[in-house]
Amino acid sequence: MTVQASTSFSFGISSFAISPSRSRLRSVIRAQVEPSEKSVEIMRKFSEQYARRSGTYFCVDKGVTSVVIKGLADHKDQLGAPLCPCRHYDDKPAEAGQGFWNCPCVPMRERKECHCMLFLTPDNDFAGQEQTITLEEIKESTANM
Amino acid sequence: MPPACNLDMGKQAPAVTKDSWEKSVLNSDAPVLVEFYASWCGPCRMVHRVIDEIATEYAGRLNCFVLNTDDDPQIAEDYEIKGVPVVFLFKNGEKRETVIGTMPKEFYVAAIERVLKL
Repeated sequence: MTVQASTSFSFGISSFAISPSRSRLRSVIRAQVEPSEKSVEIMRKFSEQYARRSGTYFCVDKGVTSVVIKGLADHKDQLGAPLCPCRHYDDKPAEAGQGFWNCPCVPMRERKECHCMLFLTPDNDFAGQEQTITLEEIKESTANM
Repeated sequence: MPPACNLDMGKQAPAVTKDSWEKSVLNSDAPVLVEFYASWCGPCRMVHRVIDEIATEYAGRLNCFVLNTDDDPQIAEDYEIKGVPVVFLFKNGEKRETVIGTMPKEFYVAAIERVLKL
């Protein structure tokens, strides 16, 4: 068993200071890293604009929206591109460079398919009625994570 | 250090890792459900809540686990995980059912019932 550091992430010393066998602990510590507020704000604004432009709506549970926006911001910080946070990649930097899953991804642009549930068509059971989300909403709904 | 972030991880469904995979999943006497998720996957939180309910309702008949693909890329790659959330059902170490994406609870329950009848 070795520490399976995800290829693209270097979160600082804390990620390396943990025993390889403590994978649960590792997951908790790794997830503590928050994306920069600047990137969260960029992705928040992008999400509002793209929802309006594509005629899609945020999830009725805005906690889902908030986590995804933070995930996009995290990838923007780590990789320089808002890679979809709802997929597993063997090689994140390569995927970000390739671009297929950078938000808005090709399936979203071509068919309005967002399995991350950030942009939902009105007929989707999980779609709410809003195309706006504030930074406060994002902070509040992810505060207890 | 800020407080731990673990995406409302289930109180019922514990984490399974590369180290515990063989014992907990492949060699389990009872059928096993595994939900694969990623750290910043919003819809995975919704599926977590459903899996936690299921873990309670099927206690003793089905073992439920969650696996973070960011932390355990090896298992994720072995099973060719691409989109998350995705839920696998195992019986006798073999994958028998797959539920892709965020589905209503009935979908998971129906898949579980099929596996329990095998």
